[in-house]
Amino acid sequence: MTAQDLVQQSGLGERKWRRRSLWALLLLIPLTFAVEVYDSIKALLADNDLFARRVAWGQSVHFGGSDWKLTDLRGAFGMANLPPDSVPVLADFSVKVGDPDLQKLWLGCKVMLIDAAGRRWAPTSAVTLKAPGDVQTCTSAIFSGAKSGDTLNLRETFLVPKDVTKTIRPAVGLASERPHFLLFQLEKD
Amino acid sequence: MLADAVKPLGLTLKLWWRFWPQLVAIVLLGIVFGDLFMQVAARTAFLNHMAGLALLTLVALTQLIVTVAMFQTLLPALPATRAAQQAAHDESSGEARGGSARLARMVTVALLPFFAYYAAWGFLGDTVRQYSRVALDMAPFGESAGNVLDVLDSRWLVFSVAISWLVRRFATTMQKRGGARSFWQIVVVICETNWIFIGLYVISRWKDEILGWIMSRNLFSVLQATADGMANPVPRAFAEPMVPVEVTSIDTTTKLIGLFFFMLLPVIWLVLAALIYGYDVRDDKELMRVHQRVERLGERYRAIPKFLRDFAEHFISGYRSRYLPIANGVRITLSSGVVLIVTLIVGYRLIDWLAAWAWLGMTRLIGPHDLDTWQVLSEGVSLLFGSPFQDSSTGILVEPLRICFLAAILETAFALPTRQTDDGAQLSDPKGRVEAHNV
Repeated sequence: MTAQDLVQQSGLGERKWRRRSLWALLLLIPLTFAVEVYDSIKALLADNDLFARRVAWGQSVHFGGSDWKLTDLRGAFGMANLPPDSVPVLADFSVKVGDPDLQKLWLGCKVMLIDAAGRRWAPTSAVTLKAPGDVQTCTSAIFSGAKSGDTLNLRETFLVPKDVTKTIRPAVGLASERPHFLLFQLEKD
Repeated sequence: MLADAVKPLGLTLKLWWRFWPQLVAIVLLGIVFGDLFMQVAARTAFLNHMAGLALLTLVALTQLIVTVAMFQTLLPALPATRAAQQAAHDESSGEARGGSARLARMVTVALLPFFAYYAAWGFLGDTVRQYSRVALDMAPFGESAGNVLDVLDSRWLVFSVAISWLVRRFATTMQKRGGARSFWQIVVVICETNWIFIGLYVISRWKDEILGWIMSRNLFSVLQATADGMANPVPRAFAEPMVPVEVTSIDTTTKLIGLFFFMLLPVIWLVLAALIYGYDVRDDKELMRVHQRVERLGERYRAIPKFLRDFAEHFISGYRSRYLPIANGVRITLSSGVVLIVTLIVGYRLIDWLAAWAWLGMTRLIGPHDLDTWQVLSEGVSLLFGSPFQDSSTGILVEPLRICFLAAILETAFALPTRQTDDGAQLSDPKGRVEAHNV
């Protein structure tokens, strides 16, 4: 075999490997990205409320082992000592406990308000309004020792700008159900 | 002079354009397998901490194999390097070898220097840290099973090294008997990697302990004070006033030390490249030519009675043939001219610098998102450019370019006209004649 042949052969081999590698890249790039990103995607899905399940007004939905129903959403207009153009909003839920293991199923409970633009508001403790004795928040209900069949009254207080009060809808997310969350519709929807 | 500096840059781009699919594929395979072995090691660590550490060797070995494979891919486009290899090969008249056995041998040759570099630059610590993080992530909440590094302080470590030594011995015996030679070669490589990896990490830990012990003695502070006093006699003579941090400056010694290590990394990488290509350039004649004193040393060595030489050779011949290439690599690097070395240092650091800016630019381009989303996006950005924040991560756009650049520098060094005429004109040059006679 002459040197010329060798060079030609190695050239052919190189072209073959170049083509093979190009095909392999089609598979390898997505594969490597998937391997690298797997843990982050898992964390993203487990920690965030991404996909809304719409709940019609007056409807009760099974979520995190219990039946959730929005009973009221109202603004407390005319309160003093608040920043201008802000309104406290109260969201009331009635929850019929199914599976009583709330410490596991309701972990990371997050009640929020979402407006038409997708902005979210978390509950506030800046405003305190008088409530009947049996009203709890989502987190305090976890440790209430509720049994299967009990009905819990939950209330969360928010402080939102006045101009979004027309479009805000209450939503509930639980760690056991993420990335899905409940988005409650109002009577007028 | 400018042409000398520009030539490797042009060659780098040419090499990259010709081989990018192969190089990127190799980097990707390296990332996938590195990740896989890391997971396997961490999972094994829950069964047995020692076994987990032994498997961690594979992670470091993967990085070495990826580097060697990339350099090997570029070889057909490096005529001067190949010619040097061929010349040395003809002289030593070694047996011809197949592709995979050749790769395994090159990995073996590069093993110790690569890991020494790996340990010296703290990458060994990075890998061990990554491993302990993965294990901690997997450990159930509140249990101490995640502390997988406790074995590093136990005497059982010696036991693990002994096991791998036995396995290696068995593998070499099997290799001699014939049958599945390349398989046994791989076993030998893995065993050697294992004890080098564990040994170096343990030594680096002991070094810290010893330094800590010395630091805790008064003796050292006296020495340090004396050294400081000698280095900066005047400022130390006065009581130092409070200086705002904005006006303080770093002293020249610290700057010079920083600069030295900044410049050392590219040079070390070039030596590694020379080592990988230089496996066949194991010709001690070239090395002996370096210096009169070395030459005389060689002569004296030959004057020793043969039975004594055989006795010494029995212990050192393996290492001599292995590490001659390093010495040769260093020689080639240092004799290839100031311009080339400066091009190497500046170019190597430029690639690093551009990669870091590309990372930053990309993050600006993507814009702000919440943390969980960014975590996903950052994996994509790091896959492209390598992450400046993650331990020894490599990007598929940067790593091939870096390897091409190193190969281009080495090729330019081999192709330098001074070197060629040196070799060609040796017999006509009186000095050369003396050298040829001595060797």
